[in-house]
Amino acid sequence: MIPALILLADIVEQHLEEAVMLASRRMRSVRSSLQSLATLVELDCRIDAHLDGLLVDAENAWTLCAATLKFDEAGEVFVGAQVALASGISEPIQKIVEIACSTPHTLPGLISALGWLPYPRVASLVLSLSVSEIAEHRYVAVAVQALHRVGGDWVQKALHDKSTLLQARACRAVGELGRADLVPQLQVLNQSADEAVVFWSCWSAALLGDLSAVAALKRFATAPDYANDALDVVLRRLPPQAANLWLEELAQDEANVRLIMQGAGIVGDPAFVPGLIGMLSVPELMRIAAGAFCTITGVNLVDAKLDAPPPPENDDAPTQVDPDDDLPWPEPQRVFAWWEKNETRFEPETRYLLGQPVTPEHLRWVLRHGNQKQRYGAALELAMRTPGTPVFETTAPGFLQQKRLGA
Amino acid sequence: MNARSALLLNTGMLTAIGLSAAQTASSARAGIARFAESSFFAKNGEPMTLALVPEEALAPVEELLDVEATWNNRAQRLLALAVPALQEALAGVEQPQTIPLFLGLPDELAAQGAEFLASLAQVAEFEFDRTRSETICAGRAAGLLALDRALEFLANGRGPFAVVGGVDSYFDLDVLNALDAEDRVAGEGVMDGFIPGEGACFLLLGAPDAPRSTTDAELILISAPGLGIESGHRYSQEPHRGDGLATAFAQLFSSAAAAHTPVHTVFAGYNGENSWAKEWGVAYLRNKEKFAEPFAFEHPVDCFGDPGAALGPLLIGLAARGMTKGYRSGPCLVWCGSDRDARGAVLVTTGAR
Repeated sequence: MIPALILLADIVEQHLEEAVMLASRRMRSVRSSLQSLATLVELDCRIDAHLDGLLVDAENAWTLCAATLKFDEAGEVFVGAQVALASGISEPIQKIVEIACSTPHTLPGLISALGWLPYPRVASLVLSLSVSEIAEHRYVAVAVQALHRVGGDWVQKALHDKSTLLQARACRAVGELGRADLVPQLQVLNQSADEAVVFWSCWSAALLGDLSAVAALKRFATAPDYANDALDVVLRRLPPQAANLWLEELAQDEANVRLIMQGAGIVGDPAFVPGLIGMLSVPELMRIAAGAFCTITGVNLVDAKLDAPPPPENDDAPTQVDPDDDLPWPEPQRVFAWWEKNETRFEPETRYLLGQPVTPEHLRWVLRHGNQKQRYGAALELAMRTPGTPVFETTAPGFLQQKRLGA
Repeated sequence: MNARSALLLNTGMLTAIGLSAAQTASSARAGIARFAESSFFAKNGEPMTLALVPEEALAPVEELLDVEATWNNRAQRLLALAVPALQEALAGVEQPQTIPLFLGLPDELAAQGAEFLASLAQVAEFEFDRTRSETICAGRAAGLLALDRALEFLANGRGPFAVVGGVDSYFDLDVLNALDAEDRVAGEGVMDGFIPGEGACFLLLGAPDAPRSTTDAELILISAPGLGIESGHRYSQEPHRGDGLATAFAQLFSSAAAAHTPVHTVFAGYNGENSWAKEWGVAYLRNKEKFAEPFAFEHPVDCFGDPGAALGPLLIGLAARGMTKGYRSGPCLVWCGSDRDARGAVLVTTGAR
């Protein structure tokens, strides 16, 4: 005797809607200062719970996905890929791969989905993608293997792929995997005609200790597509004095002011603080200045009541993307008063991160307790201090990261 | 391994949020609730909010003529709820006729337990060992009382397997009217009420040395429950002190199950009414050292309403599933209590092969 109904369809629909919404939120915020490891764990547990609900009947869930999702953004592709993979049926898997690889903004959804699952579960799909004639397929394979920090000779092969898109991603993977043995190959690739290949080969080589690559990487500091990543490595690889001098050079051009403040936070020298406090009087720069101030001193503006309400919105102003949307508004006088009271705690010519001198022990603490931006920086620094160590992947599922950190 | 414990081999569930153990567990994990206004009206003229299983998910028991003749609507509904969940729990079992069922039921069926089991076997279209089966008609804690009987059966070597279950439904005019008269149905103007629900859950248990085919690296162990009596229950004249649940906890922790503490997750028998918070508070404070700090606190009635006598087995099944899938940390403490004096608590743990 079998009842007419064996699965609650309205519940499955709820799971799908929530999973897509949460996955999209994750992709927007996984490197943001608004997320910490703790909040990422909470978010990822919620995503996992809804995926769990969908995968009670993956085949049925795929039918629902195919009927209701447009798959035109990464969150939908992420969920669709999880369902397709769980179904084990080749048609949905092929379809989601085809959809994901059709545009640059859907591709991250597939890569994230394959990065979410344990590698053994996706290994055979990744292998088949790695030998595909389609460059985007091979790109996915490289990106996923890099995410999972998979060992083996795949990265060397990818460095010589005919697609420069792949070469560039493979160059980046060399640094992420800590493959110092491949630095000589990077030194050849940094002569490529492709800018992305040059950048990522220099980035990885500098990360792995090649100081000549640091010099080459510096020129990317003012290139919009590469500035943040260039600063992340250059300022951590250079000795502090050299880093300060380079920032002073960049400061000659007023157009670099945002870069300078970001760089000040990375170097962490308390000597930058008065300059950062000075920038709190400039409305379009005050949040990034305060962000760097907080990165150096460890102050939480909100907890220490040094924040202010946002200024009233100008409805007549054209809508623009706000690069500092994730940062709180500081109250300049109170920030200045705090610094006056606490300045003597900070030793000159010492790098600070979140209020403490930068040491391996403190970096490991930041990896557990910092926000996602800070955690990424700490992961890079820890890898630099121990040559051959892969960079800890701070975008992996939060609960996996906790296990890996023993947190 | 303590003889008064058992391995959990399989689970079957039917609730407002899932038509199988997998769907119920994933819905509860995701915090999805499924309440809806019903066609029953409270005395204030507002429709009652209930948590019900869709009619299409119930077994069509009315096809059996003698069922209709013997049973009222509520009992028929219990049979219809029980069948799919029992079938799920016993799926793949080759000789179910050798396995007894220890079934928790609402108080009202106390005089008809044997007949209920006979009708259940008939509508389920397979036999279980009715000669050694028992019903425990004690409301919400009945499932844990049934577990105690089942573990006694296994510990005495009377058989390698047993099924423990609970089934109940508040979806009955007389029952709902009685609750409404006592201002117990959650709704406008009710400060201390609950969402009436329904459900069924069956747990296939094996003695520790029973033959099994599972290759899972981790097995789920269920301890013998600690049991207590609350003399100051809802329908008593005595003061409500919370001693009953505290006694259940103390008995549990004084047994060999205590080796599995500290408790990392609590599956609470909260149904929405405030008295359970007091009973939990008393029981917890008297046994605080047995709990990890912090511990997780789950009360899935928030999702599927109060399922009455099904609650104990449901909480055990959800704890087990959560630990198996890795999203709940064990050991898990499951507790619940009846409207009258029965209280029970059990530990659910993992045990490597």
